[in-house]
Order: sequence, then structure tokens, then C-alpha cells
Amino acid sequence: MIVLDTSHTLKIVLEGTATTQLHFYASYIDTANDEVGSTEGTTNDTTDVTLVNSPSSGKRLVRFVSIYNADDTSHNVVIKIDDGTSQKVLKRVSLSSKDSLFYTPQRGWFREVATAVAKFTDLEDTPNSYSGLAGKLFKVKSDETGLEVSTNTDTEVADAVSKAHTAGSESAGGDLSGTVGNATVETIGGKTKTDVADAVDKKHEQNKDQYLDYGGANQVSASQLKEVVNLAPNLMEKVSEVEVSSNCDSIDFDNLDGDSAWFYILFASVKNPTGSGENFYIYFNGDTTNTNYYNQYLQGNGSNANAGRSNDPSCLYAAAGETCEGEFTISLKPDNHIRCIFSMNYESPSSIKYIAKAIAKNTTDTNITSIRIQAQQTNGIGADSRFILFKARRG
Amino acid sequence: MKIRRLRVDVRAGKIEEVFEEISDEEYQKRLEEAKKAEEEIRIREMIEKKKKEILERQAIEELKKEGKL
Repeated sequence: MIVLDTSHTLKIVLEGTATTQLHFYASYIDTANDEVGSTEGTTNDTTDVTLVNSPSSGKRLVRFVSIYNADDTSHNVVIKIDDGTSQKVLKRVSLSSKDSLFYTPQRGWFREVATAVAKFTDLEDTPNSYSGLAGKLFKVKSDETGLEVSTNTDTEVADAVSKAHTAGSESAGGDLSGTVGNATVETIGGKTKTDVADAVDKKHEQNKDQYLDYGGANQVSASQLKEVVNLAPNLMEKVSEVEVSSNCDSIDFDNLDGDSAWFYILFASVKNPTGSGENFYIYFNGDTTNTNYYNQYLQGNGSNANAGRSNDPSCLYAAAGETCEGEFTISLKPDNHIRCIFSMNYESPSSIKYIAKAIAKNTTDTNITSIRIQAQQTNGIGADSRFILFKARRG
Repeated sequence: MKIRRLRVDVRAGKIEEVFEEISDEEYQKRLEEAKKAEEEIRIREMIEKKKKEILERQAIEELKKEGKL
């Protein structure tokens, strides 16, 4: 109940101007004489108007107040208590056109609308416009006093829900743009999460002496690895290897660079597929003229030894259907005559024979660019014969 | 007669087959050269063997003359 004494009045004021001022009516009872009274009037824009005056003595009990917005637009109405020096606001409310504000001791202040609210945006505790809110959802405010707009649209929310993980129900793989199932979560690139964790544990960290096979039997330290790297330039380098798949006539190693390599080392294990003994020649730089080469040999055959020289580059020899094996060292500098020294064995194991041989090219060359092993008979290099060529120096 | 060569390009790391046709005359020539070379090896080995036998026999006779055997 609103109680006024001799120093307090109840006043009404608008926060703006009105074309048609709002109507008000109030009734009360004075305790001094138990008489009933009332007041009525209209507002005066932003100028205070007395709604209920103070009593001349005793108390004045306000029993009813009615305020009616007779204007065609809504107005903010302020009801306040004035003690002559200061004011206290009792109620501030927005009244739409033709709406009323009432006060009774039983219900306090309450509003009566002229027409039912037709729009959600007309409610006091909801957004007053839909502008810019396409697809957005509404949620209760954190202070639980009304509704506000959510951050995401319903499409975004639905998309997130469609990608939600359902425990125990997903077995298909997926990706970030689609459905992420447990198959994806459990394995990455075919590796289990255990594998991944293991790999992370063993990752290399710079400036630390991290081990390969850390802590295991094959542990290798970075410093040990560095030693190997430093050693590499001093090791012979394999240039090429050939395993003959079917009988052929010759093997040509082309695009060599003897200037850079200094020495070539050739390992050969050659099968003679023919029905008679097979001589093999070695030619350099495409020069297949036999008389441009000389060879000197020393042969061991059981307790017999013999030696000889011939004007050709014959090197390996294999009896019919047998295999021979040889190792060649080849160089050019400094006199520009290609020289070759090699040793070989041939014949069957019980008749094994040995030959040490030197070969020199009679004409001079400026480089070693190719090496050919040539069978004397056509297709005399048998399938499964093998050759590996190394160079002694890394240029 | 078709022969097959294996060409190893060490710079490119490629091995390619190269097929060549040789005439029957060339084929026979190479065959005969091979047989001739094989025969020379056989004869050389026989000679070396015989030379060793003769030397051994002469050595034994000399040693007998000297009364050392």
C-alpha cells in the first residue's frame, strides 16, 4: 500500500512529449478523519504533475491509481514519491497506445493492454526486432529474466549434432569435413593411438643426443651416426649393378667419368651358357679393335703354371656350361693408357684354375667413359650372371 | 642372328636392352674365333703339361748322372 504523510506527494511525469496527454485517476482514504477522496487529471509531458497530494494531517492511504495512455504512440511513464526536497521513483513503465497502468494495494502495479500482443517482439522480455537474426535461436538469459538470441543458427547447431560422436555405435571412418567415427579416432593412417603415442615418445629433439632404437639392443647415438656420415666420403661408391635376366652378348657401362673416379673396381661372376669354351673381352671407350690392347697373364693349373702375352683384351674365360669369377681394377692416369689388372678363377670346383692378368690399352685416352664386357660368342653371357661396378673415389 | 646387349647408363641409373642383328657370316666368324681360341688354350695347356713332364724327366736323369738319386 502507498502511504503518504503530510510531507510526501505522489507525482507522475513522462519521459517525452505527447500529442494527447495521458489520463490519470486516484482514490484514497485519510486516516485523520476516515474520509475518502480522489484526484484526476492529465500528464504534462516532461513536467511533474501531482497524482495524489499529501494530507493536511495524519496519513493518506492510496487505494487505487489508474493511468491511461490516450495518445496514439507509446510513452514511458514514471511514478515517484516527492518529499519536497528529493524524489524516489516507484515505477517506470512503457505504456503502448490505449494501454492502462493500475495500482491496488492487493496487486500492486499492473498493466492492462488494450489489445492482445500480436507480436513476439512486442513483449517486454524479448528482443524488439528480428533484424539480423535469420536462422538464430532464442535462449533464456543467464539471469533468467527473459529471452535472448543464441550465437549459432539452427543450421549450424544441426550440423554439429549430425557430427556428434555416439559411443559404441560408429565403426565407419570419416574425416573432419564429414563424420568422425571411432575408426578414425582409433587409427590414424593405419596406426593405432598406441603406435602414435610410441612415435611421439621417440621423436627427435634437436640438440639432444637422441638414439635410434632408444634403449634397445640396436641403439645408435646421433654421434655414432655422425661418424658414419663423416666416413661416407672415404668409402667406395657403387656405380651400378646388373643381374642378367636372359643370355646376352655384352654388358656396357656407359656415362662413366674416370677423371673423377680415378679407379673403377668391377666384380663379375659370369656363366657361359654355350656348348664350348667362352672367352670374354673387356673394351674401353667404345674401342673394340682387339689389336689396340695387350694382355699378360700368369696361369695356375694344378701344379702347372704358365705365362704368356697376347695382342687382345681377353680377360675372363669360362668352360662350356661353367662359371668364372673375376675382379678388375681399372685406371687411366697418369700416362693416359687405360690399364687393368684382374684376377679370376674358372672351371668346375674340382678343376679350379687361377689366372692373374694385366691388360693395357695401346692407344691413349683422356678419360674412361665406358666399359664393355663382351662375349666372344654371340649371346655368350648367360642368365644369372652378375656384375657390380664401384668407383674408388667420390668426385 | 639377333644379339642382345645390356646398356647400363650409370648416370641415369637405367639399364636398357639393345638388340642388334648380325649377319650369318659375322656369327660364324665369331664362332670360329671362339673355337680357335679354345683350341689354342687346350694346346697351350697340353704343351705346358708336356714341357713339365720333359723337364721332370730330364731333371731326374741329371740327378741320376750326378749320383744324387
